[in-house]
Amino acid sequence: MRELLIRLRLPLLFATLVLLTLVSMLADRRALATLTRERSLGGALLEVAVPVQKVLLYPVDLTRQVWSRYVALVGLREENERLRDRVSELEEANLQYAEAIVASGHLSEIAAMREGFDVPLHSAQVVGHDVSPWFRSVLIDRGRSHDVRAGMPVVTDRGLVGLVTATSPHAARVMLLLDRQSAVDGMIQRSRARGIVRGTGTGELELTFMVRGDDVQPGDDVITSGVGGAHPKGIRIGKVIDVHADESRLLHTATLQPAVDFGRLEQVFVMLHRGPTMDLLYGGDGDLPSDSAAAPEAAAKP
Amino acid sequence: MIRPALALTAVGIAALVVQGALAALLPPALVPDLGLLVTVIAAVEAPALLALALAAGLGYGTDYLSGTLLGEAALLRIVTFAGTRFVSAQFHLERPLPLAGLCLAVALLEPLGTAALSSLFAGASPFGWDALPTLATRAVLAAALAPFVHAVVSGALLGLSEGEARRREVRFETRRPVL
Repeated sequence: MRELLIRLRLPLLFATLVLLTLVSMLADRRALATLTRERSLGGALLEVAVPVQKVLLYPVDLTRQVWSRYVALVGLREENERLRDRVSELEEANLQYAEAIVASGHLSEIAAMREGFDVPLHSAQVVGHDVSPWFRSVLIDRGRSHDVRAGMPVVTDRGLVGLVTATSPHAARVMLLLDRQSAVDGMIQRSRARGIVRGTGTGELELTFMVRGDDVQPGDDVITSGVGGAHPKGIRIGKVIDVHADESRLLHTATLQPAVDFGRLEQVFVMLHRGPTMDLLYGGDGDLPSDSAAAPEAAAKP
Repeated sequence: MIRPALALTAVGIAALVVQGALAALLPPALVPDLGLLVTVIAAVEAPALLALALAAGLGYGTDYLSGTLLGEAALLRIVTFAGTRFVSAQFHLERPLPLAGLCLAVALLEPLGTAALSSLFAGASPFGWDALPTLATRAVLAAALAPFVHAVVSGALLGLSEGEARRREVRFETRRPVL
């Protein structure tokens, strides 16, 4: 019997491991669908990955700094003059907008809307990128101990980055908008036409499920509509660069250039709230940070 | 047995960490799948049990450091191990050219497995036809790096287990059981 076990140990181990992977995939799919992706071992590995990735990325960061501070300053004077001109233009435009807003009496509404967006943000550093080229996610150095939970949106000053999908005490994994499994309810800021923004797995996004006749043009800005419940309304997603309008079809699509430069993602901000729809769907399991308990309602205001 | 296991574990962890660091620097097409290469080369060079355990470990490591479902890469790595053992039982893969050819083939086939598993379990493939150039580039890169990774893996195995190495040198059989 013992000899038989020794002889069969490799096939047995093989079969056991295959079974284990299948079971873990099914379990993870269920956990992902219900946002209860508590990965104890995964959390431990994420924890280990953060300091190691930080050390490994130090020479990379140093090279980038040297490049941006010294080598890339060749055309600084010209760029400086161009930027000064641009600042003057923007100041002028800003003045005109402010005048227009005051004149139309909407200033208080704008202020209320800004308050509505006043969701607590937690800054985080991107410390690791997805090791697989087929999935688009990043590792950040903030986790459950910083009140970061799965389902929270992640942004930069340029726009929406993605959604937290897994957390450990001091790290979290963020699925980027570029991932093909990512979907965000978005709308054209100018015409309010709505659609679903999907990742294409490449560097671009796709705005799908737009009804034929919707007013969409290249150059239009796309923002979150807030309807999906996962993201607050009004976060910039990207700009339309191409519209695929086939008159024989009921639904149109458009290609978007993301607002965020995902190739240079370094610092991001986690919005410390989960959308109200998500909380309703997933039971409001009480893992929201106590200081932002009112945030979902506030975020839903606009 | 413990020393080769430690050596393989160290090489596997280093592969994942280096791959993660390269992913931050280079475009996806130019990031070599070092975990896959180590899996293939360990399946050729290392004792079967160790190589199988390493394949599963590297797969789960990739799953944790990636957006895949937990177990997806692990299953593919285990299947890769089995396929490599099967091929290595038929051919001599210790030489650079056959090994590079095998790594090229595996690097082309493994993403297809990823697409199939993702479609089956997550409802959508993580990439479309437009990823073919990326896939081809990564496969060529894997083939080019295979001899170097082979040198690292066998060096680690031989360096840490001289006794094991001596036994392997006097081995005469040309065919090995697959499983």
